[in-house]
Amino acid sequence: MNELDRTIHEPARLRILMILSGVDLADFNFLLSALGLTSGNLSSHLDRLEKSGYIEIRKSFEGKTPKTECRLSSAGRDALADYWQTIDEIRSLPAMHEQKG
Amino acid sequence: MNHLDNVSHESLPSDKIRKIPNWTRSYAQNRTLPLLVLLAVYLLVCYGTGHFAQLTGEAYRAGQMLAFSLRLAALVICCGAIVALAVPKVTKRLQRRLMELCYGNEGKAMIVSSPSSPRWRWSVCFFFLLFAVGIPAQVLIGSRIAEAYQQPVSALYFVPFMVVLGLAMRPRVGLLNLIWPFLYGLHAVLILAGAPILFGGKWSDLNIGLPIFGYGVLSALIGHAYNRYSLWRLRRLGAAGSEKEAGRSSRQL
Repeated sequence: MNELDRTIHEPARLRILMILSGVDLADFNFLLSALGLTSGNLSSHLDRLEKSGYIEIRKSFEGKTPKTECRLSSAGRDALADYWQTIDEIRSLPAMHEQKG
Repeated sequence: MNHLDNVSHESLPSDKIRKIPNWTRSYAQNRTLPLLVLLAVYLLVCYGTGHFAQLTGEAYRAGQMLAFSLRLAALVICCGAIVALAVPKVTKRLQRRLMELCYGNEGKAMIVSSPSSPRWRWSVCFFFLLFAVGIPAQVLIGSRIAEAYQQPVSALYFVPFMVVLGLAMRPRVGLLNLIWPFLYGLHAVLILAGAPILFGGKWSDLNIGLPIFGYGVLSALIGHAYNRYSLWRLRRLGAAGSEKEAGRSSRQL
């Protein structure tokens, strides 16, 4: 059984990855409005996910407005799939014990 | 399995979270307000062209040159708008502006990839050709087709084109977009079955105009309602994470 990925296991980061897995790209404002986090909090989570290689962040300017667009990387997609597989395996453990008992 | 010793089942994420990608996708696929506005613009421009063409003719026949000039200018503006809206680049830019205006506050979530298999591309091209030939053909031979069959005949080229276009654009757009051609096709079937849904006399133009724009507006409204519902579900699932996080931080304190 794989180790639980602690980067993904954090609730807000898990939700960020789940949102990004549903679309090709989402910007900072969308994540902010969907998750109800503060800007600073969301920034630090995105930073952590980018450093782990799970998301790709592209920063640009539209006029004078900064735009931050995020995409799930292929490593992030694989890590997310592994994470849910591990969760399913952990969930199935008590059932296995009961069957043994 | 020592690494699992400190993982309690209560701390595992809820299975509801697995639905987040679905709700995010539904939200992105059903941002239909710009379509609604564009339909209204098309409707206005088409109506304006017909209306001002009639008024211009009347003014000319009555010898009112000032009214004729003003109405002609309005007609030229409407025709110019039709030509401009037929340019994909202009429509795309307009759509982007409208998207920004309608959903700018919520941020951007997009599905940009689209299946580009040659089979789909050829299908869209074929049915677009059928659509593009069908409209002028019906205008030219329209007088030979009985009033009751005008809408069903138009459905022969409108429905297949819209269905193939909707399917080819997946996953960028959702299946709800198919409501439009489905209702238009159903309308044609009902007319052929003898349902009393035909306009007569000077309202006969509405036999095609009303189903096209009416079902388009209805489809866009349903899409928009589903988009709102998806965002609501997404926010509920998303906010649960930030509440949990807040709880965890307060416990740490």
